[in-house]
This record gives sequence, structure tokens and C-alpha cells, in this order.
Amino acid sequence: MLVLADQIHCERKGGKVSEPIDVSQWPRIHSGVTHPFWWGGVVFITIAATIIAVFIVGFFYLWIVNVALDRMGWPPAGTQLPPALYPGIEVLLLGICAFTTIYGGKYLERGHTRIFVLAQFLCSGMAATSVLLRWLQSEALPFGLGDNAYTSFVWILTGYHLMHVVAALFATAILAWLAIKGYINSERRLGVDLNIMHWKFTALSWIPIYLMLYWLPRWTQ
Amino acid sequence: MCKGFRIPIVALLLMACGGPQSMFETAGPDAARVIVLWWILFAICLFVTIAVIGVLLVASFRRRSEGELPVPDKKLGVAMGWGIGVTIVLLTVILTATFRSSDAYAEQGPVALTIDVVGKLWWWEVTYLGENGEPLFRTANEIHIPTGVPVRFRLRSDNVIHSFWVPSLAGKVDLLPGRTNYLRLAANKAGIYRGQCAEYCGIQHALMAFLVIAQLPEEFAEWMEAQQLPAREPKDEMTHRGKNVFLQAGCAKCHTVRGVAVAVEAGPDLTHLAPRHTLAAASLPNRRGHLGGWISDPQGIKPGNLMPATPLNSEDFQALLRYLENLQ
Amino acid sequence: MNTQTDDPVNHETLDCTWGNPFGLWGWFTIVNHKNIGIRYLVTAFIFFLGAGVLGVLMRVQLASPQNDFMGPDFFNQVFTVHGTVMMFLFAIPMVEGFAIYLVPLMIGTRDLCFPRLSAYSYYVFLIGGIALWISLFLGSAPDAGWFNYPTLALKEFSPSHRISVYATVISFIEVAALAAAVELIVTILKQRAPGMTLGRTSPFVWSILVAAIMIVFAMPGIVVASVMLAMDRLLETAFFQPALGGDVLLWQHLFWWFGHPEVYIIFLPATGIVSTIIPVFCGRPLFGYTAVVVAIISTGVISFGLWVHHMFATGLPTQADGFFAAASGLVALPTGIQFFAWLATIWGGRPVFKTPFLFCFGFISLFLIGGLTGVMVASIPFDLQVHDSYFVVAHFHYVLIGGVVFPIFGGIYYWWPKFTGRMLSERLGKLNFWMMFIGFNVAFFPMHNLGFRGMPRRIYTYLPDLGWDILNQLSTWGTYLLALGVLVLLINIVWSLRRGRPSGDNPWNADTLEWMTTSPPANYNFAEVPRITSLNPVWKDGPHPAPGVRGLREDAREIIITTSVEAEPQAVVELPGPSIWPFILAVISSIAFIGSIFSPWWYVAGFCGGLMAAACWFWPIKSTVSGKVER
Repeated sequence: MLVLADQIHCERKGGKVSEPIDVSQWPRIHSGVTHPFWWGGVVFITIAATIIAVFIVGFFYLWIVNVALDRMGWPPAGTQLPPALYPGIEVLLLGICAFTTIYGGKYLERGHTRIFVLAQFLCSGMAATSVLLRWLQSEALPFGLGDNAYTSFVWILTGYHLMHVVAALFATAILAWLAIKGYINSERRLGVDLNIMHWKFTALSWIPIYLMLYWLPRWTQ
Repeated sequence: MCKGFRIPIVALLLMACGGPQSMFETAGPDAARVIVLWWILFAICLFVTIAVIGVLLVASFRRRSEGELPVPDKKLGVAMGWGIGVTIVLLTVILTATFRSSDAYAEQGPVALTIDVVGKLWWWEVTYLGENGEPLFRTANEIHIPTGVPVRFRLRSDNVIHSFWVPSLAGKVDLLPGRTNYLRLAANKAGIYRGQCAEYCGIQHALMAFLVIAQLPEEFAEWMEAQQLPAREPKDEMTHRGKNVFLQAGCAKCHTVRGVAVAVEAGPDLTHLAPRHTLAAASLPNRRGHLGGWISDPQGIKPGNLMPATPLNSEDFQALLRYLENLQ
Repeated sequence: MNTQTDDPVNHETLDCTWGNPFGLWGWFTIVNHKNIGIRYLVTAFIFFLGAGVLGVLMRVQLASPQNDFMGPDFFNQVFTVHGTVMMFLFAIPMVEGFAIYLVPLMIGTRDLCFPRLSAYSYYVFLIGGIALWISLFLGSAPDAGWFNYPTLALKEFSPSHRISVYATVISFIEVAALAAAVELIVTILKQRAPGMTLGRTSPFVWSILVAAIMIVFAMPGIVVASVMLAMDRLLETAFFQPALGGDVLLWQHLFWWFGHPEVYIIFLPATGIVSTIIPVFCGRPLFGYTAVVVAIISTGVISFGLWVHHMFATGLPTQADGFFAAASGLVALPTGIQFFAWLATIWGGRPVFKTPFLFCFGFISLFLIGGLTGVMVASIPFDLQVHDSYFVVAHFHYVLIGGVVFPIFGGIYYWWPKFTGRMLSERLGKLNFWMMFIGFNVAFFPMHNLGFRGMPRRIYTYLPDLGWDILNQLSTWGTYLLALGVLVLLINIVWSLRRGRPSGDNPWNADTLEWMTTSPPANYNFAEVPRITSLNPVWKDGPHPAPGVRGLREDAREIIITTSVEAEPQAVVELPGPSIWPFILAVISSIAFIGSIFSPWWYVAGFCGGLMAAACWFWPIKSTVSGKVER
């Protein structure tokens, strides 16, 4: 409200401006917060994060319902808990992915395209390993998709997150290729900024999912 | 014993000016309280409507002289301030009335009787429970309650969501699969009150109705006693034949008649079918012609319902009707 | 309007730069916001007419007891499609259409920030909508209501593909609405003309901004719910299966978390339209601009605390119910503030009863009734009686037709000259209004009483002697009149397109920025991006404002980016031009969604294909300005 009041205050004192704004000499290439794409990226990440938040709320909602109504307990009685090792390694791998893209971006900004490409490769490798681990994990799960609501949540959340990993992996690989081809450089790096944003989200969002799906049931049982 | 209620429903329906399913034809304290709340809400909203429309009309059509100065913003601001103030006061009144009314609504207390109601596709299974919650007997689509004492409904569903609504007695409560809800109400007037499923539940949602029949306690006790008896045995040859038809033509696969056939509860319990006022979830009056029509063409009457047509030769058919009418 | 002789702008080059490609192939590559906006408006309006016909069919069926005009199987599809289309394929897309067309004009920019995204959004919406209508003609349309509660919606009780069609169509709409929301938020925050601080931004733009932000936070509820439903049906997961630890109310919470804000997502832009029209026809600025903006924002916030009032009958704890009842009453306050602002504006001005104003007049009186019955149903004990009865049907039609359709019709009459350069007939317009106004009241007012008499919603028939016959018949007659009223608009449109009077640039002498340029606007909207010094720029500066932004290239789609609050010029950015890839990506998305009715592998294939298409969409292209431009 304060901001708004301020705005209206500004309006009152705003006088007539007669000089045109000449932008012909302004730079045309931008990255970061000045570019609408950055803002679009923020809104998209907000949507993706809200989706994960809604999933998490749904998970706890069923937990409460099953315990409070004395129905099945949570996870429902008789559920074998999933092994936590592979997804735990993924926390690490995805973290490395995020860091390599962030530092890759910093080097690109300073003009070290080669280091950037290297970082992208490293990141892609880690991400690919992560996808592989996710696959192995799904093979090792001691339950099916529809055994009960908890197992459904394990599948749907890891699956939804996997989509982000795959998309980020794909984008990272393409950025590496574009950098090799010279399309991306220290000036033109909007795509890199967005990829960093996406990786931060992908790596960070895995942590609550991991804790909630794999560890919380262990601690509360 | 139920002779007093054997008046054709139609006549009853016409007597009630608000209709047999009207929330204004209150027959109990819970429904009556809502009407008090309604008049408060109505009075406030009527006042607001008249005030706003009045201001709108005056604002639009008031005479404006040629050289009239524009209305100063300050004056409009003061008017707006008044409007907001009045709105806040009225909202407070409404919320207070709501909460007072809801508290009374949520009031828990002793009940004379608990009746288990399970929403089916698309009818109501009613089980009367004993003091320790043990089932006494089962019936369908017609719930008798004693007047003057609070009774409790235990509401459940084993299929889709339904909603239990008898406007003359109380507001609605949903029947949810996997959950159990309770509704406590009392009828203070003897009479027949129509209820209907209020949550969309599939193809025959529209005709999933039931009757609540409030009776004086003594009459109710009589009814309870009669209901707990097993089905009446056939007296003559025709009814005997009807019983055999019932057992062999497939009726007994779905319909229980206590002492004769126990089915896996696919359809309503028919042990005491004859005294019921209605058939097919309060969609048809319980008369011979309608009963026959319902048995021979259920899909024509309520398309999509789960009862198949039963082809019978005319003698078997007459015998079956006779038998069913005998189930007093 | 910048046609002074010393005009430094080369209109021809500029028009060519921002122009659209020709031909059938070209049609699928167009990204200009005005074209996309018109497509959105026309498509949504056609869906509105179709769903309106379904509404009339339902009224025919219900005109008399035990009518056999329709069987229950078809009726249930009809009411489900009616609700789904009206909420998802008409209301949201219609306001988005207005927003996509008008927002860039009202904030003084040349296009939306992600032009290709809006094209993508439109194709997804179009294909999803067509899929739903085809399913109705094939007799396999959804039949569990637009609210689609499990367990009825689960495979056990709805084994055919009908509900899967629902889940799929919802996915289309989610994607389309979210894409448009992202676009509108960023455009409004970053592309307002220099000097258009947030405090000089018109109420319509504010309402779109708030509605778009609400979409961002509300839509995920239905995204998650529809994914869970599709998986429960396709992969036999257990989210809504009570026997396996799921819960039926989980759907209701998720659905109404979206579903209640949804009402305000479409209602707030409607109030924005009203706040735009009323001052113009009263000849004075909107009174209480700040209050109106604050009211819009707080309505948006409060609307997220109301969803449980759709669930009072489910037996939730009474304390929880109390909170939501209080919030539901509270939301009346900001709406009341908007009402007072409009009334004060009319009082302080000299109202001219042209058709757009007439529709706002109708809006105020009808929405008043809908809003008040809304306050009534917030009162829990009363709600438990009327919930899911025809009282509620009456209530939300007063809210949605009175509160949204009437402003939209007003908006059509008001902006028609902007869209086409021609006027609609005033005489037909007045006829249109009165037929709709009277027809609507005759159709829907009796429904309040039907609710009191115990008539539940969503019934395909009812028995005689329940006291419902006459009121239902009356309602059906009213519906005919309402439908004929809508028909008058179509006649008016055809008449106007053929021989409507040319309107000139600013036929209403309106104040907002879209009237500062030509009607219809050139491809580039503004020859010179203006500099804004007031909330009512046209009234303050006339058609020739102070010098604005100079030096944007004419041979490239350049726009000026400004800061999000103060609208200080910040950067120049080049927008991408026409492209076929949004259409291709939309087709791939559609294959994935529709395929997922049958097998999850379609979804996987669509996801991979979508990544490829997205890469092509963003592939760096040769730019006219600086060699290569990324993205």
C-alpha cells in the first residue's frame, strides 16, 4: 500500500516533460534482470515451484487424514520404505550441476568461453548420471505405482522432478553446443542466465522432495 | 398401523404451499433456525439492494443544471466512507448471526436413536442401530423417526459422493466414501418430509430421493417392532407361486427378503415392501400398477439404473406382484 | 494519431516490420498481439454461443416435469460441457483475449513481451476447445460435472473415456492460461510506456495484472489435481482411492483452491472493464482510483482464503468452517469499495446512456444481487440448506452473467470501434441490452425460489407436484428471451461489419491510452511510444502528447523496457517475429495430451518432441540489427 501511495504522490508532482527520450544509441543486447525473458523465467519457476508446493501439501494432507481419521497410518501400514541411497547421491549430483552452471556462467561473463563449455559438459554428465540413478531407483523400488497413496506420491513427485532434470540437461547440452559454435559469448548469454535459474530450482527443489519422500517416513515410524 | 399415512402422497404435496421439499415448511428446530437466519440475511440484503439501486438511479438521473460545478471529491469521499462504514457494520451483523446459528447447529447431545444411512447407486440403504450400535434391521428409501426427540444419522457411502438433504428438517450433509459424517436433528411435527440426494452422483442423481416419516413415539415404536419381524409367509397358492418366481427369476440375487433370501446387498431390502409409500427411491407411488411397471421396465422409468428388466409370463408376473404386496 | 508533418517516423517501414505474413502458412506464423487477441476473442465467443445453446437445451428439458426431450446420459454430458466450456473455454480466454489485445495498447508498447508464447497459448486453447466439442458430438463428452468429483470421476464409476477427456481438456486450458498469464505479468511490469508509473496505470491493466498473478498461484492446484486424476484413471495410482490411503476431499481442496480464485480471475478483469467504461460515459475520471486498485489487490488476496466455502457440507471441523465463512463475508468489503467508487463516479459525472454504459448499469444491479446472495451462502447454516440447490445456480449465474458477461458485452460495444474502426448500432445495442437484462432476470430470478423449494442442481428431470413446475417453465421462457438478446448482438456485428458508421479514432472521447492511436491500430500500435504524465493521458494531452521515445529502429521489432514501478526507460529489446514453431509445439503438446487418454507413452513422446520443438523455437536467428540474436 505504501508503494502505491508513493506512486500517486509522484503523479501529483510529475510535471510536463518535453524532451524526447532518444534511445538510438542504447545497447540492444541484454541479459539478466533488464530483459523480459529473465522476468518470464522467474514467473515460470514460480509456477513450477507452486506445483511442487501443492504436491507437498497434498502429501501432508493425506498423512493427516490417514492418521487423524485412524484409517491406514502414513505411509499406509505395510508399505516397504524405498531405499534412500541413490536419491541421496542425486542431491549431491544436482547440487554440482547447479554450481557448475553458475560458475560456468561467471567465466563466460569474463569471456572464458572454453571454461564455460567445459562446465556445461561437466554439468550434462552429472545430470545424465542423475537421470540414470533415477532409472535404477525406479527399478529398485519395493512397490508399484498404485500400491497406495504414498507410493503414488513417490512415483509422481520423482517423475515430475525428472522432467525438470531432463529439460535442464537438454538445455545445458544445447547451450554448450551453441557456445562452441560461437552463438553465445560474454555479451549474449541470456539463455545461460535462464539455464542457471532453472538449475538452481531443479537442484534446490529436490532436497525437500527427497527428505519428505525418503526420510520423513523413516523418522516418524 | 401405518394406515394414518396411507393418504396418497399427491394430496399431501398439494396441501403444503411451499411444496413437500421446501426448506420453509419447517418441521424441526434445526430447519426453523435457518429460517430465522434467512430473514436476518434477507432484511439486510434487501436494505442494501434498495439503497444501492436507489443511489444508482438518483446518481444516473438526478437533474443537473447547465453550469453546475462538479461535485467536489471530498463530498464523494465522505459518502464513500459512510458506505464502507455501513458495509462493515452489516457484515459484522451477518457474521455474528451466522456464528450464533452455527454454534447451535453444531451442538452435540444425547440422541434417542442412531440410524445408519448408506448412499447407494442410486438409492438409500437405511439400517436401524440398537443401543450398542448393533444393526437391528434394514430398510430402504424410507426413514421413520419419532417426533420430539433428537435422532442421529450416521452417513456413509461405499461408492460415490452423495448428500443427505431433507429441507424441512435440516441442512444437508455429504456422504463420502472413506469417511463417516453425522447429522443430528429432531422433528417436532408428525408428517412426511421428502428428501433428495443433493450431490451429483451419476446418471440417476435426479431421482435419488427418499422420505422421512416423523411419527408420534408410540406409532414409531409399533413400526420398529413390525420391521424387526421376518417377512410374512405366503398365505395362498398364488403368493406361494409368487415367492418361487421371486427366488427363481433373479430378484433374489439382489434383493434380500429376511427369512426367504439373503442377497449381497446390491438392491434394497424388500422384507417389508408393502407398507412403504414409494418405490424406486421415492420416484413412484407404491401401487400395483407402478410396481408392475417398475419390474417390467425399470430402464424405461429410470434409464441407467442398476435394476435389469425381468421378463416374465403374465401369470408369473401377477403372482410376483401378489407376493410383493403380501410383504407387509 | 502522430501524423504531424514533421513526424520523423517512416510509417511504411514500421508497418512492414511489424506486419504479418500472408497466406495459409503465414496464418499459422502470426504473432502480433492484436491478431492473437482477436482470435482469442472470436474463438472464446463462439464457444460461448455453443455453451449457451447447451444451456437453452437444458432449460427445454427442465421446462416441465418428467420431460423426455433428453435422457439422463445426454443431459449429464450437456450440463458438464456447458459448465466446463463457460468457465474454461469462454470466461478465462475471453478476458485473456481482451487483455492480449488491449494491454499493449493501454500501456503504450508495440507488442507483448513473448509474442510467440501468446501464439502458442492460442493454438493450445483452440485445439483443446475443439477436442471437447468433438467429444460431445461423438457422445463421449465428460459427464461428471465441471467440478468432476472423485470417486464418481474414477475409473470404477466412470469406466469410459469421458472423464479422461475432461482431464485432458483441463490440461490444455492450464497450459494456455498459464502461458498467457506469464506473458501479461511481464508485459505489464516491464513494458509500460515511460512515465506510466504503477499509479498511472489504468484499473483495467491493474485488474489484468492481479488476475494473471492469481492464475500463477491458483492454476497449480488444478494442474496437480488433473494430473493425479489422469494417473488414477490411467496408471491406477491411489490419490483419490479411500481404500488405499487416498482421499476424495483431496480433489475438492485442490479443485477449489483453483476454482474459487478462478471466479475472481474472471470477475476482476470484468470490474476493470467497468472501471474503464463508467468514467468515459460520465465524463469525469474514476473517483477513488487508489481505493479501486487497493480493492482489486485485496480481492485477489482474500480470494485464496475462500475455497472451503464450497465444502461446508462435507463435514469439516467447525472451526475451519468458521474461518472460511468469515473470509467469505470479508471479500464483500473490497467489492463494496469498488461499487461505491462507481456510484460516486456516476454521481459526480454526467452519465450518457450509450450501450456500453447501459451494460455497466446492468452489471451493477445484477452483480449486486449475485454478490448479496454470495454473502448469504457464506453463512454456513443457511448454506447447508441452499448448497447444491437451484438457489446456488441462481447465485452464480447472477455473479457470472451479471458480473462477467454483461461487462464483457459492454466491453465488446465499447472497444468494437477500436477493433474494427466501425460503430455498432446504438438502437440494436439498446434492444440487445434490454432483451438480455429482462430475459436474464426472468430466467434466473425464479431459481432462488426453486432452491428454497428443494430443487437440487444437476438433475435431468423432476417429479410433478413438488411445486417446481411453474417456476421452471417461467425460467425457460426467460432463457429464450436471453438467447434472442444474444442473437441481437450477432445481428449487430454483421450489420456493423457491412455498413457500420466509421468511428474515427476516439468515438467515445475516452481517456485511456489505447484511444491515442488510430482505430483500428496500425501493426506497430504507436508510431512513437508516448511519454505518460497522467492517469488519463488522452484527456490530459489530447491526441498529440509530449515527445516520447525516439530512436527505436524502424526495421526491427524493437520495444522499450522500463522499470517495473516507476516506468523509467531502462533498455531496448528486440522482439522475435513470426514463426511456425509455436504452432508445431502446440500440435505436439496436443498429441501428448490427447494421447495420454490412451497410454502414458504418448505423454513421454510428447515431452521429448516438445523439447526438440522448443529448441527450434528458440534457435538463434539472423537479426536485422546485430548479426545474431539469441532467443
